Amino acid sequence: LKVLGETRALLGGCRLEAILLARAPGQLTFLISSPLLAVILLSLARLSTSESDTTRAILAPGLIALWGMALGRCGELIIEAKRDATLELLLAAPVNVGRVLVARIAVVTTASLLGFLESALVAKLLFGERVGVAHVGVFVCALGLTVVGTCALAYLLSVLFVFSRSARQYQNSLSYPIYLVSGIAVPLSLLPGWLRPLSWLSYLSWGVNLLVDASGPAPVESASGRLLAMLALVALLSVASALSMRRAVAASRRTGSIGRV
Amino acid sequence: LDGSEPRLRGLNVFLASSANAFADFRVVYTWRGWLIGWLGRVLTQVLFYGSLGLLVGPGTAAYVTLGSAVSLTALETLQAIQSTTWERGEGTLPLLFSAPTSLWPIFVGRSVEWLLSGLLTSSVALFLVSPLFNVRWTASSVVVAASGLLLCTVSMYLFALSFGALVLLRPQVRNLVANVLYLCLVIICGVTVPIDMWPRWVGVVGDAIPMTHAIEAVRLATGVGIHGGGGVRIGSAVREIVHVGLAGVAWALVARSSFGLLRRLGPKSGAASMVE
Repeated sequence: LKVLGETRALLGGCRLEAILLARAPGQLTFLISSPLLAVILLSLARLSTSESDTTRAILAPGLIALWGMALGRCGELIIEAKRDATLELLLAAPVNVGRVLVARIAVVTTASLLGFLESALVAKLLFGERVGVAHVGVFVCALGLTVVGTCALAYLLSVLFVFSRSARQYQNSLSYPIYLVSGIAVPLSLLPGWLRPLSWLSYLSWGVNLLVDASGPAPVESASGRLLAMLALVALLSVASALSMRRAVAASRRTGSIGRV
Repeated sequence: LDGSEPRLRGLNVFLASSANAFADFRVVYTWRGWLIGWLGRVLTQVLFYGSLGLLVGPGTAAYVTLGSAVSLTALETLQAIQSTTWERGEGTLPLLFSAPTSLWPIFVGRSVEWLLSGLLTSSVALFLVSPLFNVRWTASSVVVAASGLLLCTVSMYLFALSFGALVLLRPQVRNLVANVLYLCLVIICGVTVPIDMWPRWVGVVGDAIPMTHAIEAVRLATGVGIHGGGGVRIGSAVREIVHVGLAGVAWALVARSSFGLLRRLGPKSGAASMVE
């Protein structure tokens, strides 16, 4: 019966988010921005002669939509729940709060994958670029791990937002620094050396490099090792998110402090 | 003269509305939040575009950095679209409609915080970040660029208000309009690549936007072309700044008409209703 209840909570979260997504045009901003961003990045990449720069320019709008929508939505979820005073009800409900939140973030993250398709269409139709994936297996695995990692990070941030006065400030600040450190637009070799260790810790930078390499015709160097490293980072992030949420929920139930934040 | 004299009353309304704008700003940002969170974020955006330019070459990196530094004036002032619509969310719009004053001074003052923030962030990006990409500044180029930036920020604020008035009729699209407009401006104002890479009509639209001329002025004043050195041309830069001013005056007229239109359409559309 408990499993049934949890599954219903999960599906309920998905259903609620899908309805909200269809009704609020504001949430689709990233999907309308993606083709424009693709035009901006591809026009710059056209001046470059390297093929991997073009690949990166095609992938970047999709990755930005993925990260942007997940980050934006996990912040808004908490802002709305605080504004409408539903956060207290959610915490008092006899289901796993995290499961409802994960379901809602996952729906938005899945919708954001359209950004990749839009960017590829712009590259093909407006810029006449050859769009294709040479190593489909590696590409799909890397994309899957990137999606799971993004959900996990968004979930971890939503814990932070529960206790923060202004989630919007974090939302605004976490976009471009992450794009830069993760090598979404330019290879990490172009960045200063002291930034590299930060990139090694970012699941996103592993994902970006794997996606770029898997798109090109050359064999992907040590693909399985890199995928395993990424899997380890994503797993670590998921465990950290789950533990933080559990502790945060327990603490707020004990102190009853949520409504006063 | 007292406050009942129409012109002075307009000024008083503008000042009161500006005080409201800065009060809003203090709610959104603390000093530390603005410096680390917001300034840090927009400077990284400039670095992001600058490093994209590096993929082509150091000259292109300088070109793109200057463009994206000036584009912060648009990024910031376009937030006036959102803050204009906040009046509707707060339920104060019906009161403003029935007040014995024009909507114009109210809304010019209402979002003025973004103008100041935009001027600050774009100045830091232009004068402190661009040297990282080998842009060299001289006293005369700084004076020309600073005056271009000031005029550009004011003009882009008026540009944003023109849209803000109309978005008040449909406030749920405020974020969408502001974000999409910014990306369109990046393309049509030549922020990252020269406008002549696009079809001719893009250039015609770009000519009407103050930022296009401000970006051109800054590049002429520093002698930066798409592939590097283009030779410093202060005279041409000053001519571009005059264009910024002319386009700004045109957008002031458009913004004023937009609020006139809002005054006429608002009551019919339900925007002036107390119930949302």
